[in-house]
Amino acid sequence: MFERFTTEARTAVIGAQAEAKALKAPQIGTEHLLLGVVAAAVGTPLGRTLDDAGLTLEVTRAAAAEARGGQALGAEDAEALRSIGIDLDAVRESLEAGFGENALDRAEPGERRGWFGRLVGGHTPFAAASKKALELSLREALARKDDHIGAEHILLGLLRGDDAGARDVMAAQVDPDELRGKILELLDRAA
Amino acid sequence: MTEATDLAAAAGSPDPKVGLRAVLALRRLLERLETIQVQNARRQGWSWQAIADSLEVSRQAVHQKHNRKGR
Repeated sequence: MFERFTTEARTAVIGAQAEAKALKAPQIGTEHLLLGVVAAAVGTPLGRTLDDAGLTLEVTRAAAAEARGGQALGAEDAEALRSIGIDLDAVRESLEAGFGENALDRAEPGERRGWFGRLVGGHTPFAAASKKALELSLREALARKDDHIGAEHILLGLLRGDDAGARDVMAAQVDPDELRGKILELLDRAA
Repeated sequence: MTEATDLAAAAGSPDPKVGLRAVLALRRLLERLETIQVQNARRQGWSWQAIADSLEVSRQAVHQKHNRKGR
């Protein structure tokens, strides 16, 4: 599938890996993929569209860091835990009492890696939702009968996939449907 | 429905999406809790063996996962 990716799209995917690593994320989430796209698009027509939508590199990077970096366990986790009778705030408080401020969020989970893990060390895998978004980018390209997959298509894939990671970052700046329309317009103009 | 019964209904939810999300959140919490407690035990001078026994895992497993020296 990757042979149809444009240079820009490849740069976006590679950039997503670097961004996830820089943010010490355990996986390449959709917010990192979005960040990769935004970084790769700087100076291109897509980049200008994203800038206009409020998705500048700085804003996106800050939002992606916030998405999971600020609190290791986010609002969705808290809600899921509540559904099985666990009060995450209570857990947080109890840990802070014993181990200081932000004890829970500061603790980086250990990694289960044996000799093999050390060999390939530092490889950050794509989250399932990110793989899905890339798959959807291919489908978006096929549906439009485009013969390549550009950064625009990855963005369409991210919008279509609607994973919380990228969605929250985008939705804070722009209406997803509006953004989708603008990207399609951009692709039509380029065709 | 009151909030309490809403939550009770969610806990027994047969919807895999809800149930699995709870498992994921619990695992995230578990991993962090483990890190905090293992680090604390080491600071208090516990041996890897003693920590492993408490967690009912092998010494190698806990050492490999949590020993960050020499990386």
